[in-house]
Amino acid sequence: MPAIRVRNLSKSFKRPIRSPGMRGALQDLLHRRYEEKKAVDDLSFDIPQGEIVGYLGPNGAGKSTSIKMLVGILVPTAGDVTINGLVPYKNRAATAKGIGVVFGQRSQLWWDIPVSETFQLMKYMYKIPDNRYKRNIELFADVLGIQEFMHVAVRQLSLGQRMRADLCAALLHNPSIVFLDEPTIGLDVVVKKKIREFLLEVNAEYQTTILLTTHDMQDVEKLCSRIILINNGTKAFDGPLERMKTEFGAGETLSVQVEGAVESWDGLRLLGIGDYRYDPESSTLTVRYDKRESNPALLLSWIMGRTSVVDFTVKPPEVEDIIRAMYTNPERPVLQEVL
Amino acid sequence: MHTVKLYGHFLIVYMRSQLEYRFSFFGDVFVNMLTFVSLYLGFWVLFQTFPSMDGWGFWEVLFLNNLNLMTYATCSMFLWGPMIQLENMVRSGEFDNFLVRPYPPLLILVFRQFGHTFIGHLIVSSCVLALCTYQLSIQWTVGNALFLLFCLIGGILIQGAIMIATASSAFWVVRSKAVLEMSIYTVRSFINYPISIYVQSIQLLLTFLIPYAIVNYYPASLFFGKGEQSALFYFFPVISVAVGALLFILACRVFSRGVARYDSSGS
Amino acid sequence: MRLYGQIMLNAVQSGTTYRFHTFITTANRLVALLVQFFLWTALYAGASALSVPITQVSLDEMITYAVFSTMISMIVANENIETLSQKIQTGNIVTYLIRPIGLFRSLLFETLGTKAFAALFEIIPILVVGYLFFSPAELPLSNLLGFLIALFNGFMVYFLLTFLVGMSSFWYLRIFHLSFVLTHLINFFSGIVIPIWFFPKALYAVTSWLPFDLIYYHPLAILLGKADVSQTLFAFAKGAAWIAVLAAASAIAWMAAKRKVVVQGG
Repeated sequence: MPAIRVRNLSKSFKRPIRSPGMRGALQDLLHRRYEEKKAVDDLSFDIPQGEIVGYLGPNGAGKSTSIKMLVGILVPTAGDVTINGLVPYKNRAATAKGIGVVFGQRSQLWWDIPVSETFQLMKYMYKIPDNRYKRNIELFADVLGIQEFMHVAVRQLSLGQRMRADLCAALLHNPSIVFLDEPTIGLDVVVKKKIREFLLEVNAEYQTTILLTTHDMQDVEKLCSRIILINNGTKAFDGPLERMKTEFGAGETLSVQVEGAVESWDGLRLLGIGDYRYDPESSTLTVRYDKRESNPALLLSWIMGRTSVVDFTVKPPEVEDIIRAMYTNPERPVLQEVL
Repeated sequence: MHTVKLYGHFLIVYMRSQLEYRFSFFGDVFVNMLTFVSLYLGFWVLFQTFPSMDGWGFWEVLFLNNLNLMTYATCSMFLWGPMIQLENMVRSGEFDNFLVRPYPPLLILVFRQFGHTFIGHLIVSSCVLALCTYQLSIQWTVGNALFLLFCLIGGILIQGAIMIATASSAFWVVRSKAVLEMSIYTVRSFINYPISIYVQSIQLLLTFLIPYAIVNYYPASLFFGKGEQSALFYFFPVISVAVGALLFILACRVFSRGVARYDSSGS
Repeated sequence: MRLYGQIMLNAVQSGTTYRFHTFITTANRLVALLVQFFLWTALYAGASALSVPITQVSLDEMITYAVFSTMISMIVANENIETLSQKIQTGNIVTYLIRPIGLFRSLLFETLGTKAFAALFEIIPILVVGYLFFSPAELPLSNLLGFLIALFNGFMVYFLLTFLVGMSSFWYLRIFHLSFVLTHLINFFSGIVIPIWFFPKALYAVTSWLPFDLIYYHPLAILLGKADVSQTLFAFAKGAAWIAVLAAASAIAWMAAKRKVVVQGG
């Protein structure tokens, strides 16, 4: 039985239409009209126990809405969903025992009391046995370093500390599935690394299923074995990370800092490159190309034939670029990014 | 049982965090007691000139108000805070947090806080009860005590039901806090006085639609033997508790219905 | 002068967005008025049934009193305590240190503007409802002038009291405590529901030293013709005196507050 089972899941919202002007306001008062907005449309997938899935998609694509249906916050308009065999919105309490949730923007912790007391309350709420509780706290201290701020009130924590505390609170009761909505947003590199390590360790030790929403490609790289991409409420991609990268992650960016100015870079067009820009102030040429059609060595040698190169970097594509690439042309991604 | 113990833990945590601000804590409690001073002193002034309020004397009116106060304060200690904040939480999406816990959302809402300010109300109402006992020479026989106890329980349940039901409008309308406040302040102010002073339509409204009259008027009337007595004295407390329990369950159902259509539209 | 007009206009316009809030407050006031109507009727009925004469004021006059008391509520009420304490907590108050017109005048004209709006949507409906349903007593026009002067005094006294309480937000966080105390002092000592005529002597003495009865009791007494010339003039004088005292206190408070902000950085 899969940990998460979704079949034809849909959610529509009725939004009142606001008519403009004074006359419109009066009309609305007498006769309210609604428009139906489909946030999630016919979504289906299975996630087996122990998998770490990247749940990606642009903002407003329906990710949050679908996750809220998975955890029991929203009732679907159509379709089925089971979490560990239970229907979440029908069995909220039972489902909650087996899942952990972290909303990036909002904390689940009690604002005014120290972190340690929140954990104690969670211990009682979820009936966590003493030894398991102790072991988890030790693990959290070990990998995430939370002992530094255990005694601090939540409202006084920094963002990074709060995120770590939220994560611990969500995992304290050893849920079999964890839903993470942008857990690393706004955090510095060190904390992000710690969190990723932590998630991998938890997954290894307890086979915890993790559904992770993120815009950070590093998160995806380091953690996810599978990617589900949501756009316009529907599933646009569902498969291993490697497949996504090979199929859609072909865009690279080459940044070259040059010594002298060149009259015109238009010669690049002859190489089949249309996407380039030169910034005279920093003397940097930025070139975007498809990895399958060009390669940086070729470009560099062309550039070196015209001027001296001081320095260069090659940047892999951002997940944003990959996603955008998937929408402009799912078959053959053409990078239409304007620098 | 575990749930009760859990609430105990929550309470301890809450009180600890409140007592950090000791001055404010006692200030809250004290200031809230002022409401009664102005109200009861007002009654006292009136009765210096006017001999009766529709057949009720000063201490009887005080007793009447006291029933209202005691039941409202007890119920509010647990429900006032969460119900007042419900509109905000539903609109901001903060309510989400209460749906992913291993307990019903209403319970978590209640557990998370405690209306310590209402402790002041209870202190006042206990004193007033003692005063009324003395001034009216009330005999606390087993019968009388049970009568009062049951009516208080029924009253608490009714006050709670009204609070929960009107606050639940948060899931349907935007300005639910106003609906709640109109019920617990405006409409409830009718029962500060014996409802016999009003026209029949208002009396019916307060008995059958928003049954505040069951909280204090009918119990007090029966207790002081106003109008018809008889067997109703023995049945009424049971009716009060039964009606209270029924309404409370209904109110919780309304709340659940509301949760089912929760949009989580805040971000 | 145009600046003041603009401030008032802004307040009127923002008044429309608080439409629902004012609707609720008006509804609350109407209910309170209704309750008072039944209350006084019952009290007087009880008195006449027991042959107790009520000499201070008749039932008709009491009902008129209640109707106009409600009206005064609407004219006098303001949300300035909330507004001020919010501005202070958020730090927005500092903008008033650099503006050409001071906080006090700004707030006063904002309040007046809101009242102009209220006049249309709250006061007139209440008067209409009051006259239609409660048939209050006839009022001689000669009292009207005195009433208006006393009303103005009452408005200013309440404005200054709320200003002072709002200012205390600079020093005391839990503004709700002071605000509550003020509300209850007014509920009892101002004659908002129970006119001072019914107060026993000791309380009467206390009340006359306090400013609260200037807000409700004195204007209403003058309106109903219950105050003779000397009493009316006394009310005016007391009003003027208290306005002076409270205005001075407000000025001191604002200066102290400004110093605190400048020194501490808000």
